[in-house]
Amino acid sequence: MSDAFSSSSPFTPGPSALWHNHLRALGSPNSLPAIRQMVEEAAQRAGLCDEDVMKIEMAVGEACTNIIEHSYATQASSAPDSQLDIDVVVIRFSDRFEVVIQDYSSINFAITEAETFGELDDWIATGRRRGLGIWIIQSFVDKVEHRFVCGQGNELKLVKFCS
Amino acid sequence: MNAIAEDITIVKELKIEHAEAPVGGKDVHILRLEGYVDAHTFAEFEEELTRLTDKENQFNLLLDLEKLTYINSTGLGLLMATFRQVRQHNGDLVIAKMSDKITNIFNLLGFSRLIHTYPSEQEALARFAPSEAPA
Repeated sequence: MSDAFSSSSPFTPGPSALWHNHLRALGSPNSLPAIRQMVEEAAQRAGLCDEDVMKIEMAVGEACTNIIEHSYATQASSAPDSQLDIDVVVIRFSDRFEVVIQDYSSINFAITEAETFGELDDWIATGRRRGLGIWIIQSFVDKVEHRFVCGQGNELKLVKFCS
Repeated sequence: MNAIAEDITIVKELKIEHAEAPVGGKDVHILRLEGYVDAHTFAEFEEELTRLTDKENQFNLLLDLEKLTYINSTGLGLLMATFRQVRQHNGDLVIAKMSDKITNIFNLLGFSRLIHTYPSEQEALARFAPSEAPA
């Protein structure tokens, strides 16, 4: 378990973190640009190359879109507004850049176990319009970790190692 | 060091400018995208593309992506579906002036192998001109 998960809250990473930043946004499509911008700027500050910045920005964008469109959409009418936030924490460690995404859904959305197509050519050949997002999350970062805590929500960690 | 969403100013959402250019007896429809395509703006992008293809049966499309800053998986899926659709109707979908960032996405996903991209609208339009028969 990493420093981010071993702390009492993902918003206060362990002592080995060089720096971190935290954004709390409403779980709505309107929040996506701000989340992406925060992640993009943090990834640049962490020293990732342009391609890796783009990859982690896309992976986070897809993960947050899944929360909004799948996890939150089904419970939006019943949950109080305070339950519909998304917390995004970016953390720079000496050897890696991590993004921890916390939602407050009652649905266990295990992206690490979601089925996806094998090769991109398979997706292109089938003519499907959906399904690319999960592939991007699983393929555009070096490590994906997920945990679901009943009564709390999903915590998704996306990691890019720094050379 | 914390931030809240309200602290960050997002300048553009999605603006789509539509133009037409006659090339070799065809009407090429040019869509100039400015801003980003994500869950917030996807419906607008989809509406514009499906209006042209499904309602108006226009299958010669040129997308100018010079000012597109981001496109999500759903937008990319729509692009690929539209590309397949126009090809099935003997049309084409080509792209002009992609930024380095969008070019990177296209390369990583293999879209560049299928969809032709050009550095300028003029060069992209030439794609629709009938090729000269060999002498």
